[in-house]
Amino acid sequence: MKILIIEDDAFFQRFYATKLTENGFEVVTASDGEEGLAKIAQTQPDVILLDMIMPKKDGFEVLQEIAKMPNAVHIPVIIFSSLGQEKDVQRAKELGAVDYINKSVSDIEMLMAKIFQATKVAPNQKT
Amino acid sequence: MNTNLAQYKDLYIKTATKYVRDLQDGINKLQNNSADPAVIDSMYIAAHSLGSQSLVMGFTSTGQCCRSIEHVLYANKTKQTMPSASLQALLQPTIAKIAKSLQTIEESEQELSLEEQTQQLAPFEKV
Repeated sequence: MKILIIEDDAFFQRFYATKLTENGFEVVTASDGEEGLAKIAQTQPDVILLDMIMPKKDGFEVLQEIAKMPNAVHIPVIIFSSLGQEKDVQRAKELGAVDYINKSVSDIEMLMAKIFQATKVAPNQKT
Repeated sequence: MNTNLAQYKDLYIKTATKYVRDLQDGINKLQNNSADPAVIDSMYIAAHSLGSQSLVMGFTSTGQCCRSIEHVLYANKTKQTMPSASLQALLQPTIAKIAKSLQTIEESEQELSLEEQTQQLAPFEKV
């Protein structure tokens, strides 16, 4: 399964890419919203992990752009959020995000569960 | 430090140092009477990222203090206001102490306690 991580923070990009790769996922990364949109078109990921707080184009703008892309609108998007920003999570879901994960939690098992739930793929079928 | 996280320490220090610098630059601009909303945006992203990274790495006191700064700046962002003089007076030494905490983390993998600063920021989160 191919995961696109759109995340401007080098630490979290490496952290999640490493963890997901160790667990058998194919990982593509993008460091900002514009690069992320280009890589969606190029790589057609199965799931997108999207940071909401990024410079230039933030996660909300990326969601709005994805909604206009016929070849991308079906791709499930899981957003990274922070505690206390429930309004942002709600707004992201209204824009098409299917789930969220708290970025300050390093529970990779939870993230993988959300990925499988988003794609309705059983864990033993992930590759 | 958790052995699984030790591999991320150098990258954490590198990116965290940049975020602390962004916070220091921002507070300096505010104290020079900058009214540019981009200053708040930059500080907000820095506090968000530094807080999230610190919590993942297990530096809870540093992470929670940065979270408080993030929440305070979120309030300013949503209300399109600049931090008050009293908040700025609190932010400057808080950011300085975060910088020192990062230094001790690099030297000894131990953070400083920032509980007092986090408590002092709490009233400003609701403004």
